[in-house]
Amino acid sequence: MIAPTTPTGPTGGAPSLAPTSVAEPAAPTPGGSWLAEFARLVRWELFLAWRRRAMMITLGSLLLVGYFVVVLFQYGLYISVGADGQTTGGLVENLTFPGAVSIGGGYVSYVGVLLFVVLAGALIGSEYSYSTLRLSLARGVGRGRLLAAQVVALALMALGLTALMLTLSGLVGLLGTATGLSQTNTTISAALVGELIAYWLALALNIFAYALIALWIGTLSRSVAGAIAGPLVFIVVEVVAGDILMAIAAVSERDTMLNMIAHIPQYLLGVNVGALITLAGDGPYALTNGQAPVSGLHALIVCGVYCALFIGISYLALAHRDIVE
Amino acid sequence: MTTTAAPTAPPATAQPLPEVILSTQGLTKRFGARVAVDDLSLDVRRGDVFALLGPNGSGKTTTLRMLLGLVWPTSGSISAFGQDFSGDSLRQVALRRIGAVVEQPTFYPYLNARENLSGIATFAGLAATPQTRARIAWALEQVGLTLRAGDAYRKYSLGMKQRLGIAAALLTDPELVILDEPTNGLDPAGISEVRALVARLSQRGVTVLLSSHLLYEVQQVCTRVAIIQMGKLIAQGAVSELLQASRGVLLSFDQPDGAQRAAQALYQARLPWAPSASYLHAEGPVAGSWQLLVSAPHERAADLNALLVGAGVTPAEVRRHEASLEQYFLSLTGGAPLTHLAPAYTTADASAPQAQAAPATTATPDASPDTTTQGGQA
Repeated sequence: MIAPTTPTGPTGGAPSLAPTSVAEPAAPTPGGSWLAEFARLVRWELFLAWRRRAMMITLGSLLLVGYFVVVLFQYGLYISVGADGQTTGGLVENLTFPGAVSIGGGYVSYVGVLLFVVLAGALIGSEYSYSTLRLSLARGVGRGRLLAAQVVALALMALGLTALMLTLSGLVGLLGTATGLSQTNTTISAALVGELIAYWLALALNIFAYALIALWIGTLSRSVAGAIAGPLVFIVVEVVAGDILMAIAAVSERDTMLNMIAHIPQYLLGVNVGALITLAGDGPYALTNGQAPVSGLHALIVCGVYCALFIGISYLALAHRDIVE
Repeated sequence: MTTTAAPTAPPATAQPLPEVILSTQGLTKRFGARVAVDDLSLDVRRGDVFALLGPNGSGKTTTLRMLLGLVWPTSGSISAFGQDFSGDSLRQVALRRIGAVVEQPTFYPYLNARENLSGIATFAGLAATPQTRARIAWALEQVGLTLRAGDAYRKYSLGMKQRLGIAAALLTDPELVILDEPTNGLDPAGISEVRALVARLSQRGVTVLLSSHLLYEVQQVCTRVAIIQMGKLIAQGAVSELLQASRGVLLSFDQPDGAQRAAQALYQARLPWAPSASYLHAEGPVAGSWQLLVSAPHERAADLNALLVGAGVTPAEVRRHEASLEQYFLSLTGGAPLTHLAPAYTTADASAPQAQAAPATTATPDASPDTTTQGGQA
């Protein structure tokens, strides 16, 4: 115990390093299993995200405002089209349960991804820009474990965000149904719950996969800017490259090389997570429309490989790096 | 040139040395072509207040970062608490027993002090129990941050940030505390308080390894030091033993050749209690031959004076000389206001004393085997 020698404490002036009247409590000792310690690390990562309130509020507001603009636009369209005596079936579906959920899901799979990678990039990159990584590493947290905690935290946040959006859009749909927009009431069934869960997981995987790009680029670049810009650039490049390759595919039937190139889109991340979302919502309640370009297994494998690559490269970079700043 | 101080027979009542709890063997770190740390071998013993000294860019912080697993050594080994650091799990276990502040303390700027320390507790494997919270409150109290514990870290002054860093280092009651420039940004009162804190830690048996530029402070609190320059260890040992090299009787002369003549007289007398002497370059452009530092006991000053007067060399001033750690450090690292230009003689010399201005190494006769001085001017 540090022997008190000077009975002084903060006196309103400069704070004092001198021991004070507070008796030294016994030092706690590290406790719990490896899993318990890991869970605490994950909780800490979530806490860091939660405490970045300004960013959370800004991004959350953008997400919600954008969503309600979409809903109001649909409603306005319904009102104006309905006034003209035209068919409003599709619009009614979008404004009532469970069709409204697919609007929320579609919205979060685009706008949600963009906003979430900004949050993820800020969280990952700031560990370097604030030089806080050394706080954990110098205390004996393994680099692999730290990275794993970040990955799990991102996954949980992705699940939370999509759950929130689906719940919100579900409530909007129920409100639409309750106000009599639709005459058909959808009963909650096991099939509907299953379809919703699959849809939720696919949407979360979509967000999570792009957040891993933020992790990857953020770890490599050691900057917030890199961590945020990386996935955004990736998305743009992927979309542009996908379109170009699709165009090539349209004229490549007789050329072997071009034909091979035309298959590349099947291995793009966006195509595969998109396929998983489509397949997940392709149930009796038709939360998604259209046809998946690849099989579910193919999409799962490709997404898994991408995620493993992003995490693996991040780990290799972190594990061998000198933490000098 | 590398010289190890001449060993002497251990005294009959010698205590066994405390266990080495942190050691490096041939530790080397290269950043590209630049060698930041070069073949560094340190021993920090339990209970030491050990200072790592060196000019800016000498490799102190890189060394501390390697000790904390932040920077990977290019070669060499580190062991702490008897465990080699090369394995991840062993290193992680050892790091749990160390509290550290490296360079400027950094914390999450948007969190307050209490939350930041909660994070440190989490990293150290502590659960969020009332005991941990009490410990956090105690640590904040120790550094006088209780009243500002709810403020965001980004609002703190540099001194407060430094204090929070120290609180973090104390949080887990570590066996070894590593403090890198702990007084940076602190006002004089804060510096004094850090010194008292280090002393209190030492009293309770905590080993402290610190780096600092404030050599006066280091001399006040540290028991052992290592001095590194350009990544290389140039001296290591107990403060008192290292300073023995510059302890003795200082003779000043009015005549330019006075010191040389005095050295000649002393060499010929071959006094067993004055086995060596160095020409001294005291502050200013003195040519070196106006002062002579004789490694003789202070109580022999009058005898020295009498001998020299008898030999026809009358010193203008005879005084006891106690070098400070700062003087010793500067003499080793070349920024010296007080430099031993060359040995005037040692009893081992076969030749007459020469006034060479070449670097030299002087061994202190009573230095312990634990004390090394390498390649500097001592």
